[in-house]
Amino acid sequence: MAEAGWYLYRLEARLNDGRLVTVVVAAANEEKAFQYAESHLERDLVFRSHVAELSLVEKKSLHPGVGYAVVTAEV
Amino acid sequence: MAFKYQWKWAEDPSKLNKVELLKLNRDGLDILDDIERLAAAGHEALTDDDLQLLKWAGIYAQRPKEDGFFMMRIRVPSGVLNSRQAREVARISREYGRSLVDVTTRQCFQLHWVRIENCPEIFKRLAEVALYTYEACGDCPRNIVGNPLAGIDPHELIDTRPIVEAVQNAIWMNREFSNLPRKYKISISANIYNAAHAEINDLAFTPATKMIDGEEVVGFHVWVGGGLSSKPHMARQLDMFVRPEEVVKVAVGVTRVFRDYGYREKRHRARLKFLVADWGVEKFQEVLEGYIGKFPGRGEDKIVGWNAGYFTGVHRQKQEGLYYVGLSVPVGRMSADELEGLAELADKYGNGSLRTCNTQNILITHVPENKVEALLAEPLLKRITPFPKTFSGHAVSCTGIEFCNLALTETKERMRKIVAYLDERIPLDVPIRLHINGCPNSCGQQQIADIGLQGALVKTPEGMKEAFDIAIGGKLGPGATFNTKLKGRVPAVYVPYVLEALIAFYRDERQEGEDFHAFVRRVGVDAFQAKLDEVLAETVSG
Ligand code: HEM
Ligand code: SF4
Repeated sequence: MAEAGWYLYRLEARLNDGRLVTVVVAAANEEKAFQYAESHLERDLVFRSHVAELSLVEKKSLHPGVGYAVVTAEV
Repeated sequence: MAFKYQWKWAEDPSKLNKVELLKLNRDGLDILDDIERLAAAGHEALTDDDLQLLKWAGIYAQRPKEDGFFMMRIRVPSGVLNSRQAREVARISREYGRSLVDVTTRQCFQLHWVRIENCPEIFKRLAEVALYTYEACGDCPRNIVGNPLAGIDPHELIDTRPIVEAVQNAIWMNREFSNLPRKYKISISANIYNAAHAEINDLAFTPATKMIDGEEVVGFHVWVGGGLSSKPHMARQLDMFVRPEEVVKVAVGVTRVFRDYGYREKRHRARLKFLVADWGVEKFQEVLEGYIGKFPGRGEDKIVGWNAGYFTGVHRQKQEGLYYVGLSVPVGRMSADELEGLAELADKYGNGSLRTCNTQNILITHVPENKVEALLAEPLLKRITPFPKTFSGHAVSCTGIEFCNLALTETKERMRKIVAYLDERIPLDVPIRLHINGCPNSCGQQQIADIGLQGALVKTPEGMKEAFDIAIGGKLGPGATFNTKLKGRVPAVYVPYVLEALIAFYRDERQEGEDFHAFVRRVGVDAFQAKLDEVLAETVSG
């Protein structure tokens, strides 16, 4: 069943070196989504100072199976 | 209920998504039998499944969900409306919807602030004037969009009103078609300027002719698999010519193919466009012919251009001495008083007939020549004007964060400010169509805009701020293309200045008679990207 009032958010982080990173987080609202995304970025990838821009670009209601397909590289 | 559990796809439920399982158990139309009970029990008692199925009743939870308000969509097939109907919508909006009325991109009315408790009364009153919300949302045949000028159009091959009505009668509120894999959008128009945006519908009929037995027959070509959302597709034409009296047969056939073969495993791949993309049009047509038999091959396309769905101003009808007056409704929103006022004007100056447009605007029709001037002098036509400024007259906006749970940004008010600024700063003699969406879902059809804006949020030292992606060069009709997104998200406060700069680039560099789309094609998207980079560097540093 749907997790009442929760969403799966898709964020994009543009790094100083030009790379674009997609971050997907579940959160109850947009502020939280940004916070969680920042901590994921910091924990998994880069220092905060390496992120040039962090934006939230899509939200979907949270329920089993919800997700995003994201292009990572052209082959 | 007759069809419950008989569907082919029900045989292997492991391949069905959650909504599919729900729909097998309880058809979307079953909810209509429950409305009285749900209304009596009140919002608190609604289950998740009720909320899901209430879409078939045309209502959809409004943001924030917990508050118990709904948006309500009212179908207006082909936009054809009379003053009694308009007046009733206005009154319902005043009594139950805080006096707000939106005209949508598919010619519907949309009300907000509606409570489940009031739905039985609202549905009863709408039915008294032959208006319905049923199947305006949900996985079913949505409102049929059409030529808003049907029957009065000097540029139509035939009057499509009876065809729209016949198709509606055949598939709407029909349990054979109330459980489709996903929403299903039909467009029917014989206007040679593609007034009903054929390419972005699941199924579309467009004007055509064909020589048959030495005689030129007027009819339609058929397009399948179009749609917007976050993955837009242009519909593709079948090799088929359809006489007006056979449109119903073809529409029913295509709907059956979608019902029986459309994907039901993943909702994001369920629209007809995915089946058409996988099969290709040849196979689609083969399967279709299995349902409806063979048809004559394609004839001559009669679409010669695209009017983008705009009809503002005073224009001759095909009936001698009669005029229609196209009115601009800023970002599609008016008050109940305004809609009621328009109904009065339609009675006073015309024959009580109005039309809604897929550009979120409205028309008053059947105005005799000697009454046009007096109509134009009416105070209501100061705001809802037939002569809007260029930008405000060509602006489309989705619902946005005010009422939509998926929105990241506000849209309508933002667009109002943007066009006011542009009309003030950069008056132009040719239209540039701006569309705005609050997320990637494209209810505001941003992909077909000359300049489309798509909302996002960016993190700044001062907190979250609204920002927009800009896409340029969309168009339907001959040479149809979706617009191309430029790189660089623009903070909302800079959007008016950035647009001003991009539009000035067009104004200064265009050739004689070159419209915005042709200009983008000639100079290329890269030239606009360079311009955007330059402006962003200036605005951000300056
Ligand atoms: C679940 C995600 C949604 C998707 C993918 C979606 C997508 C779309 C698309 C592609 C259109 C069509 C434009 C066209 O074909 O002409 C549309 C229409 C529309 N959508 Fe959405 N939408 C979604 C949710 C919503 C929500 C939550 C709201 C508002 C609360 C909304 C409001 C509208 C309106 C007002 C229209 C014009 C409708 C009509 O007349 O049929 N949509 N939507
Ligand atoms: S485009 Fe997005 S924000 Fe706008 S109404 Fe549709 S779902 Fe909501």
